[in-house]
Amino acid sequence: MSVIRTAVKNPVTTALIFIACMIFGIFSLVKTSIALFPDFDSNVIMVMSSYQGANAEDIEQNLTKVLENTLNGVEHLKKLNTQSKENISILTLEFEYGTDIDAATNDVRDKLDMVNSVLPDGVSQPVIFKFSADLMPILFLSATADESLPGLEKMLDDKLATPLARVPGVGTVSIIGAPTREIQVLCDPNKLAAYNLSVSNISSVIGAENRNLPSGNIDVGSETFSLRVEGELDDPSELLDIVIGAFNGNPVYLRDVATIFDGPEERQQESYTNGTRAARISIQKQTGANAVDVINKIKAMLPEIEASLPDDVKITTIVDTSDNIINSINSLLETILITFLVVMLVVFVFLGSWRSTIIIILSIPIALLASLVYLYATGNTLNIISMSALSLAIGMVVDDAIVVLENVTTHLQRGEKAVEAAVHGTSEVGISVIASTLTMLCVFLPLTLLNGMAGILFRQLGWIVSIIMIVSTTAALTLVPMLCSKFLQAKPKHGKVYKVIFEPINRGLDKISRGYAHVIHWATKRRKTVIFIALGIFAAVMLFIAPHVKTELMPSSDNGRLSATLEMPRGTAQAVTAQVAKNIYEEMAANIPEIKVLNYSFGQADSDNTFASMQSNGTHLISMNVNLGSPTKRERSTAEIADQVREIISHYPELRRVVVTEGGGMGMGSGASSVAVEIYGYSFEETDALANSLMNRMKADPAYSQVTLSRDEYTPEYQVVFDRTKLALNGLTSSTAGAAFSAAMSGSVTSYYREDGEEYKIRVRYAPEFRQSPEDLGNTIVYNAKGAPVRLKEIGTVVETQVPPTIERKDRERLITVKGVVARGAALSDAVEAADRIIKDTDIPPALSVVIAGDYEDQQDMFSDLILLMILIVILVYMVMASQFESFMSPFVIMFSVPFALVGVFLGLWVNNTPMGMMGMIGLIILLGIVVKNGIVLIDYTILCRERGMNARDASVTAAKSRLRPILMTTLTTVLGMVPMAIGQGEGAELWRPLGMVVCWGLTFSTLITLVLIPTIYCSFATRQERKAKALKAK
Amino acid sequence: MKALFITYNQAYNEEIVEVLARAGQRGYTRWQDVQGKGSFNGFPRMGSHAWPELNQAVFAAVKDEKIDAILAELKRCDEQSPELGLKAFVWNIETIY
Repeated sequence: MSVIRTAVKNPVTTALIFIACMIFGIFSLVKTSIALFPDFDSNVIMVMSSYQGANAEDIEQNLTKVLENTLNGVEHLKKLNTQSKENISILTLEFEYGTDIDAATNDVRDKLDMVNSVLPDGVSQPVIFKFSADLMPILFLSATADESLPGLEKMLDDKLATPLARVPGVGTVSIIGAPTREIQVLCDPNKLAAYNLSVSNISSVIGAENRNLPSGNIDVGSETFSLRVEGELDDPSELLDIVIGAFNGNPVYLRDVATIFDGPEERQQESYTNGTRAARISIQKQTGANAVDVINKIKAMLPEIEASLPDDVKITTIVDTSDNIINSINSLLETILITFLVVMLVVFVFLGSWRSTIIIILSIPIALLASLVYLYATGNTLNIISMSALSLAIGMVVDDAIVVLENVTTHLQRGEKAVEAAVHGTSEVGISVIASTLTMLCVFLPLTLLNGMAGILFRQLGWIVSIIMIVSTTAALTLVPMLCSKFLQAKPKHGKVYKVIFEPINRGLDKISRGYAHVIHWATKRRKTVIFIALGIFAAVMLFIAPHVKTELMPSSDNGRLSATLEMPRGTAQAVTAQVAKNIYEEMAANIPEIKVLNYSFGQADSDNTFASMQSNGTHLISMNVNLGSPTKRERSTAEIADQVREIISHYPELRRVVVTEGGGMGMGSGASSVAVEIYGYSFEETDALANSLMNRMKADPAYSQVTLSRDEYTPEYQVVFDRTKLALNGLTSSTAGAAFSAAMSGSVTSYYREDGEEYKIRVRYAPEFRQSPEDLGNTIVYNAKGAPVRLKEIGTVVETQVPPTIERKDRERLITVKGVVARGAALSDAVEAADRIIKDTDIPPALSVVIAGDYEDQQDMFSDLILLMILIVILVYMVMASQFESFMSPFVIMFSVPFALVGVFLGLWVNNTPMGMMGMIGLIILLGIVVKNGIVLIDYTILCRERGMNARDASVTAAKSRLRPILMTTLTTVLGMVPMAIGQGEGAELWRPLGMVVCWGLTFSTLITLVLIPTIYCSFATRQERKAKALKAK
Repeated sequence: MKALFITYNQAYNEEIVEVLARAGQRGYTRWQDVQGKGSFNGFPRMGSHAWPELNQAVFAAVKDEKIDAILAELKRCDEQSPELGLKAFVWNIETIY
């Protein structure tokens, strides 16, 4: 091979090429951002449209169904969920992962244009809204204040939100829960009636009075002056002196009919941090920005911002999503370093020479760093998938170098010159090194072709390991022989230490090799017994242990965050909600010492605040965010604390629905899995009844820690129903009467009070004491065209009604979802089993259908994708081996290692009581590539011995004796390289532990069994061949 | 003039040509990658899966007086690393054109 000779002859160039690889790698390492998971485009589009005045059922019939029918045909659409509630229809279109969402958006827009003319009159143009994980806030801050509290919102807006929004990558900064100042003019309706005035009168007079008017210019002598009329108020109290009308020839001042209140808005969200009133600041990033980078920039700015705020304003961090990411990546980095050291030690123990060890392990940093160039070039991040890929590749990259170095050493010891030994030693094994890399590429390259969820996660892994394999093979064929020719000694001198340590090791290894040869000698004689024992082990594990292995989607990781949404019955007054929230906070703070920061907020969001109003909010809703700190610094896991929170909250029977989410619901890999039981059916009563009975049974099952229904209850409401005849008699219309009513109750804003460049609303409405009962509503005064006052109760009635809940539909059918969170200690498969059992035991009315979805659905999708991929990989690996051996039989024999890898995997998962999830599946796929390696080495040498004239049995024994050492060495580097991953304890280790576990157990078990089984099966086939050949000769 | 034919493991590569050069022998013909097998012992060099190594061969027409020195030098090489294998054959050359 001329490449090898060129590399050895030009050591400077060879070295520099690989040094360049490392430099590019280091550059990429510095430049690459970190994240928890690979980036993926969102796959959800929302279509919102409103139809004022229609109730949920009308919306469903006239709007949602029409849109559903139209949009159902969009390409790559996976699921179509809709919500029909009063006035609004929301369609959520979920596309297959990997769909070009821009193209999908255009498709959706085209379809909407088509249907627009068919929609009922009065329906607003449907708005398309791309939903993505980027909308989740990346950082929650809290600002507490003492004397500055009243002006806190404006202050934060100016001095915190505005500068932060200028930070590159920051999307939106929104402030929730700080008091908003408003000037309220609170009228007494009785006095208004006495002077024949109305709320809208007053509001328009204030609007007219509170105004500055530019009035042109005037020339005085040689100069020009501009003219202005200054009418704006300098102080809110001046409002009281405004003349709002005349009565009996006397002026009526505002102070005669109203009072002024300068303070916080009446309805607002309130936020408390650790029990004190605070503002909650949530920061979203721009699409595509890296969370950790953005948070770092924000953190760098915070001290400066804090200095500009008054001393009593304190900024604390409620949730910092980068903490967990950085800690997880660091603990994975630690794992990689430990793995590196372990592999180095194994190589050293086997070779007993520092020079050889260094030559071999040099390929590790080179290959790893080179693969980082890929990450940087494609704009990917260092995340737990790419880092796991690096970690698991470490044990494999050295294999090629080991094989080359071993053969070069043999050549050197025969007395060859260094250069020739390096060239010939390498070229002899070149083909087999390339072939074994090809089998690995057969496993990892197909991963890059995956689509869907699995594709997002595994594509990076596939590329990284493939690149590492290619680079390490290249290094093994160029750099390693070059280094061997320079640094390897034919007969190294050994010191005393070597004699003490390595001679016993060598003697031990030789003993093991001889013992193993004896075992093979014995086994190849009793082939049937050996094969039956192996089959027995396989059958026993598959029949008795495999069914007990649980499954899951993703292991739940502890990221130190908890969030909870607590729902009081709808229509609960804000003051009541506030008291309950306070009580719960106090109980939690007293009983859960791990709580670092607890923030809760409640109340109706202002319609101006887009972010706050996008989330569900209302006077009856409490949303809670808890920061528990890093899991390495506390005894109990987030899951345990979540259970305690659920227990505490269960003391409050007034809460209607409670959702406690571990991990704060920040997407995959955090928090417990969930099972959603979907009940499809039209009738509310029937589905509600079934959902409730399922919910109660699921609540009683230990597999669930929390079960909730998706459907809201009926909301109480007062409706004003006008009598049209009476309206007409009084010279009124529904809309004039309605407008007057709304001005009285929610107020009319026509003017702003300006102070220090800030504007505050001036709201005119009835004083609160006149807005307290249905009778008060009836007493509202409306003026007709003649200016005569008419009380509302004279023209209409106030009735109490119930508003039906939001109607949810999925794939064009009404449904209600019973969502159960999988309890601590139980796996997703336990929960699915429990749900299955409960559904079977329940009488389901024939009109309804019940389906299990949620994480289970994703898990099924992913497992079926991966199993299909595994079949493809097995076929590819077989084909590569068959062409390498130019035989169908030998690779068939080698493939027997695969089922025994499965045996090891199931045993390992069962013993460790770990469920099989996505990370375990990655491990299984990797195993397909590595377990056949040992078989290849063994069978290759056996064939060589047969070609040199031995019979099959002698060849097997000789191969066993000679190849055990390299097999043990490469297997140990891989297995021990995985151990740090399998037993990792750092933050986030839950995520990759199953991966390490699967590879360790699978490879160990399959190596132990196949070392005996493969030579035995090979002998069976080979002796049959030999007999046939003899019989042919005899003829 | 004597004909000198040497076959040897390809690991010697340039060494043999250098031996000739040192003895003042300028002309030679060399074959790369030739196969062969010893009559008594040693591994065959077949360039195959079973016997991956290969030999090289050199032919040289050497003046009578140089032959002994060259053969002695080759023998020294062979004894230094017996596992590699080297054979040299000498016979008379009748005519050269």
